[in-house]
Amino acid sequence: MFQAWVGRPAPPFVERCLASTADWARSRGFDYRLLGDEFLDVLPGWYRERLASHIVQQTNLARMRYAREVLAAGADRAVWVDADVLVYAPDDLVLEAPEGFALCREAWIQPERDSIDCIYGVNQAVVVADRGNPLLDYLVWAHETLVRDRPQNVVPFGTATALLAAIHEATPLPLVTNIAMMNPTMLREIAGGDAGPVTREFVRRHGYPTQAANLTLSMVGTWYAGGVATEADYEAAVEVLLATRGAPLDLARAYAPASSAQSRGTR
Amino acid sequence: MTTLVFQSYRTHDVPRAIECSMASVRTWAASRGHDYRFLDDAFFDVLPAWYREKAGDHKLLLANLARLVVARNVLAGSHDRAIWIDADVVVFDPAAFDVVPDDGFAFCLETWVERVGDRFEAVHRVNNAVCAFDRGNAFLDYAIWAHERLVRDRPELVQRFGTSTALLTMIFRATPLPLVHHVGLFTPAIVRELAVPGDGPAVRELALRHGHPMHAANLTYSMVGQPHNGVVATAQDYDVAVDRLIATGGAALDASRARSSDVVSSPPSRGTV
Repeated sequence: MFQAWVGRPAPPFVERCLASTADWARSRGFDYRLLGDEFLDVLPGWYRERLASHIVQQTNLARMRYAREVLAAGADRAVWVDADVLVYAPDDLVLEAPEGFALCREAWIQPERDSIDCIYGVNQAVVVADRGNPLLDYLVWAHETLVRDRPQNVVPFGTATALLAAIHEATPLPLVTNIAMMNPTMLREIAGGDAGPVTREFVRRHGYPTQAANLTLSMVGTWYAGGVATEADYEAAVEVLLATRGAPLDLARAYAPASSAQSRGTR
Repeated sequence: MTTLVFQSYRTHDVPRAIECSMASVRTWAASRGHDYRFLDDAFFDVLPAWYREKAGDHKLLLANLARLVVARNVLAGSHDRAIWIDADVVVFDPAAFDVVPDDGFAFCLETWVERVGDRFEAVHRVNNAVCAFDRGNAFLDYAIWAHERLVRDRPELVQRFGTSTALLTMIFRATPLPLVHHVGLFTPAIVRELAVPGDGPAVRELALRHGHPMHAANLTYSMVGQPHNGVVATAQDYDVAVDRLIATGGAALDASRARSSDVVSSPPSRGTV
């Protein structure tokens, strides 16, 4: 199992995310590696050159190529988890890949003025790849050819979420369903102590129990749906999720009538 | 590099157009120094039993996966490259025709030209009438998995060409698959026009819209005798069209010749390319 943090020092909440994943990996008896800037050495020179300033795009391919190297070196399974994924229920977290490969189901909640939309997609915040699986080579090739041959299609998440969603539409990719996808509104709600309406809507729309959450580090401090989640909000949300083992994201609670305690989390 | 070209068809009641087409492929393969293998219905023996059961007697679905599995088996043997060519593909310009998978594999660009009212529309897609795979390529295992997964888990998406053209075209939109550009795709209207003296508007439109020189053609023989867009191409039409293509080296499909004719004005092409 491997993770990476590239460039600047990790914020404290990312440190806690990394620790939560490392602890989970060790509790399962997995080998664990945390990589730094050397993680990007696995990339071809031309790829790094083309995406010089875009670390996210670079890590999108790097995790696939690194997984391939790990498998070639003798591991039976390679597991990547993004640095901003928090494991809050480690005893229950299992990453299953019955097809020898799995990516991550994503339910992206978008609060609108009078409603809450949900867009379903595929991301690679978690990647599970077994030796001999049929997908890894293709995905490495797909990432590379997109950057090489269709650079106009490379949007901020163009080598991952957009690409994977298109492939998933053509054939249903195997997905893990137990990683929650947070947005700044949900983080602010949870930072306030518990789930608010957006979080509860996410839980209902996601529809599966979760034991970990992708905190979307890239959105710290960005304006989203009428508000900003600060690093302090992220810290507080991590605290709540760890202390309650993810209670705000509990599926059964999301269907329960709103209590006053739940209402307090709404702001 | 050792290359095997393989094809499959039934061994009884083989139409003359198919015989001529396969002969053209054999001749081309020999001229390139490629090995050639013909497979009868034993071709389908490589398929998993569950897939055969689900696909039933849908030969197209069976053949879509079988060509991929056979290619994988070929590459596991002594050949470095496996090339599949549909039995109804005629190579009419063998000196110019080549199948070179630049990125270790390639599928086939198709331009489907259809009359809509008083105009023609052209839609570009990707098909597997010609496909090639080198040993160690990044796509074949995924393509096999994708075909199986689609039939097993999304049978509702499997339409007539659901495990090949639709799938490959969608994947192409996500990532640009390497393509063989030199195979024309015929409709019954094109076959009919080629079977009578003079080049009709559909042939000219294909020549103009395909955008690449054509050295071979996918006859879509599965449409023989079937009304399509108001046109029926008979077995005899196919025979005559094939004879004419081979005799002239596909002159009717030459784009410069088409440009010199009066061409029906049509809207821009749609699709992948």
